[in-house]
Amino acid sequence: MKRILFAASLLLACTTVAAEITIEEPWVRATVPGQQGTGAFMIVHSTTDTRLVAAQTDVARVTEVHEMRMVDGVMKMRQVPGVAIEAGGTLELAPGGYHIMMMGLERAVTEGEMIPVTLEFSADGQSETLTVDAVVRPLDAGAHGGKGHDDHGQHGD
Amino acid sequence: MSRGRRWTLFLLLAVAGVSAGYLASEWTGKPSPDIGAVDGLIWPGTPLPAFALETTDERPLDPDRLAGQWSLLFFGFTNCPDVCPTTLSGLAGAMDVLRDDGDLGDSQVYFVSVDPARDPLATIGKYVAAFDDAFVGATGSIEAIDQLARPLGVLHVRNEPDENGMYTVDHSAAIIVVDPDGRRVGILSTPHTPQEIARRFREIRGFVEAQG
Repeated sequence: MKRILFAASLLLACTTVAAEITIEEPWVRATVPGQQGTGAFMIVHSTTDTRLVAAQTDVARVTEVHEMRMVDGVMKMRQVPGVAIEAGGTLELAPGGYHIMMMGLERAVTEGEMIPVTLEFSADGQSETLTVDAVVRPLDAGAHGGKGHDDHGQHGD
Repeated sequence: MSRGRRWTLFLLLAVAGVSAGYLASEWTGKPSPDIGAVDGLIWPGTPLPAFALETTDERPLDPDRLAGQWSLLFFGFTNCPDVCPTTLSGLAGAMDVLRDDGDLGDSQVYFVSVDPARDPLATIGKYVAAFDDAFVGATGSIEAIDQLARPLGVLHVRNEPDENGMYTVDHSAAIIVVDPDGRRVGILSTPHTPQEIARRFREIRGFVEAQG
C-alpha cells in the first residue's frame, strides 16, 4: 500500500495544481469478461474548496461520479453533478458512498493492472484535471480494498 | 344471580381457562417461541408460488431445486460496483465460516441478476465464481424474475438511461433465506459481514428446525 501512495504522490508532484489536491489509494474493482461496468475508489484531499465534477478513463466509454444510497433497504445508485470538498477536507470514494462509475467497459480489467483515471475538479469557475494510476484489486475486494473475508490488504503494487 | 352463583361461575371459568392454557402448552410440547429474539426471522414462513429461472449450471432454479436445502438468495447485477460485490464477498465469507465449523449442511447461495439485458448467463457464471465456486447464478425475463422476487419481497427497478445512455438498477439489498420446505423464513439486511450473515442464518435455521 505504501508503495502505491508513494507512486501516487510522485505522480502528483508532477501534476500538482493550484488547489493542492492529493489522492490516496486509488483502486478499481476487477471485472470478469463480459461484465460491462465497475467502480473506482480513492481518498481525495484538497487544501482549498473545490468540487469533483467529472472523471474519465480509457477503458470505459462513460465514466461518471455516482452516489450509492440505501433507501428503505433498496440500493440506489445515481449520477451526481459533483461532490464538494472543503478546504483541508477529505472526500472518500469508497463502497457504501460515492464512487467513480465506469460504464460501457471496452474490456475486462484484471487484478494487478494499473488504470489511469482522470479526475476533473472545478473551483471558482476554473477547472483542473488530475490523472492517477489506480491499481486493479480483486472483484471481491472489501470496502477498503482488502479481500472480502480474509483481508489480504496489499495487491498489485 | 346470587353472589354465591356468580362466584361459582367465575371459578368455573377460571379453572377452564387455566386448563386450556395448560393443555395448549402440553400439545405444542414447547414454550411459546420468542420470535423477536431471532434477527431477521419471518415466522410463520411465506410459501413460494411457482417460478423458474435459468441458471449458470443449466439446472433451473425452481421450487423443486430449493426443496430439501437451505437457500440464501441475493438479487443484484454485475455492473454494481459497491453493494453487490460487498454482499457476495460477505456471503462467501459466511459460507467459509460455516464450512470451517462443520456447520454448512446443505446450504446454497443463489445470485439472481435483475439486469438480464446486460448480464448473459456466461457473464453471471464467471462473476459468481469470482466470489465462491459453489455459488449459482440465475436470471430470466423480467416477468420470470418477478415471479420469484415479488413473493420474496425483493424490489428491482431498471432506471431510465442518463444523458450518456447508461442506466443503473435499484434493488433490495437484503439476503433472503428460504428453508428446505420452500418457505421464505428470513430476511438478512445489511451489514453483510461474514460473521453477521453466518450468525443470523444459523439462528434462523436453528429456530425453524426446532419447530419440527
